[in-house]
This record gives sequence, C-alpha cells and structure tokens, in this order.
Amino acid sequence: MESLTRNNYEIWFLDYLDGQLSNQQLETLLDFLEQNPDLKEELRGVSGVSLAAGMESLDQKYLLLKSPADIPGISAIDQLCIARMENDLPEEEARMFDLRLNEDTGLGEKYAAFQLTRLNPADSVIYPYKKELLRKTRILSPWIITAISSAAVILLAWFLWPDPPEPVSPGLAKIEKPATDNRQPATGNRQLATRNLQPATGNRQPTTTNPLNVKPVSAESSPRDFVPMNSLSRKSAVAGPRIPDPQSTKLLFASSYPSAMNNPVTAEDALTLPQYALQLFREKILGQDRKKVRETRFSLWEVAGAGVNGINSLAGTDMKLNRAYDSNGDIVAVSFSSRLIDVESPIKGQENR
Amino acid sequence: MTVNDYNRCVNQHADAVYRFLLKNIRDKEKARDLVQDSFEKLWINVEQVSAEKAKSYLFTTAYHKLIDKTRVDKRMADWDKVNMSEYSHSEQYSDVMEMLEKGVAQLSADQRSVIMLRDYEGYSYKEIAGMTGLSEARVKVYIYRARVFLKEYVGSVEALV
Repeated sequence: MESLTRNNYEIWFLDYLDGQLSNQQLETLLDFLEQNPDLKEELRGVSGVSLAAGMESLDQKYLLLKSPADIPGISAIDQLCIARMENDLPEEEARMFDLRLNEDTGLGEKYAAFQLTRLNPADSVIYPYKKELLRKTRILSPWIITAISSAAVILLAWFLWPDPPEPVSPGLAKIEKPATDNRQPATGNRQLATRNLQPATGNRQPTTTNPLNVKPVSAESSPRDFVPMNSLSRKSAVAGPRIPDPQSTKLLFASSYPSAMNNPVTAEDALTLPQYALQLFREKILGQDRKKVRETRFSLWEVAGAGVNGINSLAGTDMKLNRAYDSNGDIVAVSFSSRLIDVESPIKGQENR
Repeated sequence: MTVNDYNRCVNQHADAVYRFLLKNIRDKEKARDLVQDSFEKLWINVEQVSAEKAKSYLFTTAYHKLIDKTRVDKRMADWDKVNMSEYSHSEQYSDVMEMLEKGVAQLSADQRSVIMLRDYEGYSYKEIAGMTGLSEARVKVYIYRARVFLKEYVGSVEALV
C-alpha cells in the first residue's frame, strides 16, 4: 500500500473501517490523524454511516432454476426451440410452443433458423463398389444332385451287393414239387402260358427246361400266383446268412412292376436294384442308348467319355473318346482323338470296371 | 442371418454407411476401406447377427472404425479435398446445404457422427447411445450443441454474404 498522504487518505479510511489495516498501518494512520485534525473529524463522521439489509425476496425464483435436463451453455429459448424440433417436448408444452410461435415473430425466426440445421439425407450418396461386398452361394442344380445321388447308390450297391451265383441253386428245384398243391385255377378268361404248366387239375409236372417251373407273367393272369413267397427255397448254395434266391427275387421284382402287366418280363430281362440303378445312371446321366447299356458292361471309361462330351459342349471342342467292346460287352480298347493328339490303347480285363 | 440376408444388407445399407463415413472422414478411399471393413466384420459375425439388427450393427461398427481411424490420422482433412457434390445426386444442392456441410465439418468427431446418425438415419438418442457407447444424456447434449453451432455458423455466413 502506498504511503499515507492527503491525496490517498480515503483509501486508508476505508481499509480502517473494513478492519483491513495491520498494526503498523494503524499506527501510521493515527500519527497522520494527529498531524491532520480536520481529517480526524472527517473520519469520525464517516464511521457512523452503514446500510441495513432489507427483507426483500425475488418473486418466482424457481424460474431461474435449472434441471439436469438443461444443457449448460445453451440459452433456455434455444433449448426450447431445439426440443420442439427434436420432438422432445411433452404434448402440452409442444402445443403451447406452437401457439407462442404464431404470436412471437422473433421466436418464429429463431425456430426457422434452427430448422435449417437439420441435415438432409435426400442428397443420396451412392457406394460404387457394392459388388465387391456381395457374397455368392453355390447352388447345385437338381440334375447334379440326382447324378451324385445315383452315383453314390451305384457305388454302394456295387461294393456291397453280392453277385448272384451263375448256376441255379439246387435248393430251387424243390419249388417244382410242393408237398401239397391245392391251388385252383381262376375262373374267367385266364389263359395259361404254353410253356410248362398243366391245365387246372392240380397236377404239376416237373420239367427240365424250366427248372424254376415258373411261367412268365402275362397280361391275363395274376402275377402273384407264379412264385408264392412260401415256396422260395430257404437253402442257398452260398454259406452265410439266409437270403432270398436272387433269381427268384429278380422275377418277384419284375412281376411286381406295373409295366410287366403289358410287357412280359423274362428271367434274363429282370434286373436287380443295383443293376437297375446302374442302367438308369448310364441312360439318364451318361446319355447312352438303352440297347448299348444292355449289351455292354459298365466301365469308368464310360464316365470319362461322358466327361469328354461335356467338355466338347462347353468349350466347343471336338474331342472323342471311343471304346471298343468284345462279344461279352467288355471294353477291350479305347481311343482318344483331338485336334492335337490321337492315341489308342488296349484295355486289360481288370481295367474294365 | 443367411447369405441372402447379408447380400440384402449390402444392397440396402451400403450407401447409407458410405455416406456416413464419407461425410465424416471426407476421404473417398478411406471411406471405402471403412465400408469394406464394416461389412467384413458383419460377415464374420453373420451367424450371430440377426437381419433386423444388421443396420445398427453396421453403423456401430462403422462408427468405431471411424473413431479409430481418426485417432490414427490425428488430423482433419481439408474440406477442399473432397467436393461433396461429386458424390451427391441431389437435384438442388443449395447454398444453405453447402454452408451446412462446411459447418458440420467444423464439429468435433463425436458431434458430427451423432448428428448424422440422428438426421440421416433417424436413430433415437437411446439407439445412438448404444452405437457410440455414449450416455443418452451426452448424445442429447452433443445434438443440441451441434444445432446451436450450426445455426450460428449458417447465420454468420449469411450475414457476411
């Protein structure tokens, strides 16, 4: 603090009245007052003046209060405009705000200015690399699924199904002479086959030309009369589990086919299930002629040939994979020709399958 | 979510995610990378995310990848680098909108993302909070302050003009 003079004594007087002078400053003030008695009288006069606090209070003080919802730094009117714009106001307050908008021009202008701050998504931005994001799904067409399924069935049957023995099982001979045969021929227009059956007298005669003694199915007779299930031999030339005789089974399947009613099926024409599946595979998938299918034995070279044909159709090439068969239907040689090479090779017996 | 659902998400939301990222980061190549990263993450989690939640999942992922990218770059791109009219197909790109875009560029990253999610995609405060990890109150504060800033920015530019 500056030294006490007649130019700044008021400051010293106010500090004295506020009690803010130190002991040394107080002694300095008292010495000054002794030297300046007129100022001593002035200090005595100021000391008695003070203001008394009144009891007035602010009306509607609550209007100044802020809630946690109030955002620091934003005026109340701005927050009100934004809240209306963001649909944050309760319904009643929103209605009152809208009423006030119509009356208060300044509020209307402020509200319009805030509405301009809404970003417009209508300016659409297009992402130009959408194709890079797409994922592809592999869909197998039905015919591929059919081909795969057929091939799997054929392979499974190929390895698991036992080959029927070439000679007829001696146990079948017993079919020729059932212990009792009380079957009566049906009445009506039934025509018996000409081969080995006797007229409807119940006397069956065994034959040597048809050891099964089973007549072929004809359109005019019931197929089920020829091979009763209970007449199937339970003896098999193959040791192991008892299985129905393959030849009889062939005819049983064949005689059950509806087409057999119109097309007589012989023992030689009937197919086992794996054989039928294989025939279907060769005709439908490999696209081979039925006659060729019946006359030739299946070989993986046929699959290769179908593959070559497929490549030709896709690529427009002219490759050929020809197979030569012997009298038994086995492939004995293959030849491959294309624009660049032409080769031929014999096939050994074990390579046929 | 199936593959078909995922591809449907690509067709429906890729543009919106790209717009959100491009207007935030203002770099075409970076925005493209972030879009691909976002959809890649969706694809990785395709079996866990349902088709209904895919959009919010995409924006959540895009937002976090944007923040990470911004922190790595630690700088703001110049507005002049990207001319938004090249990527915009609006018939009327008014002066006010252009000023608004420039004003948006002045916002902080969080404010900018939040207000874009609000205006472009129509998400609620709660949904935006879930995507960004911010509290609902903070989201509201960001939006309100952004609007005040944009109002004053547009008003000041108009005054100069």
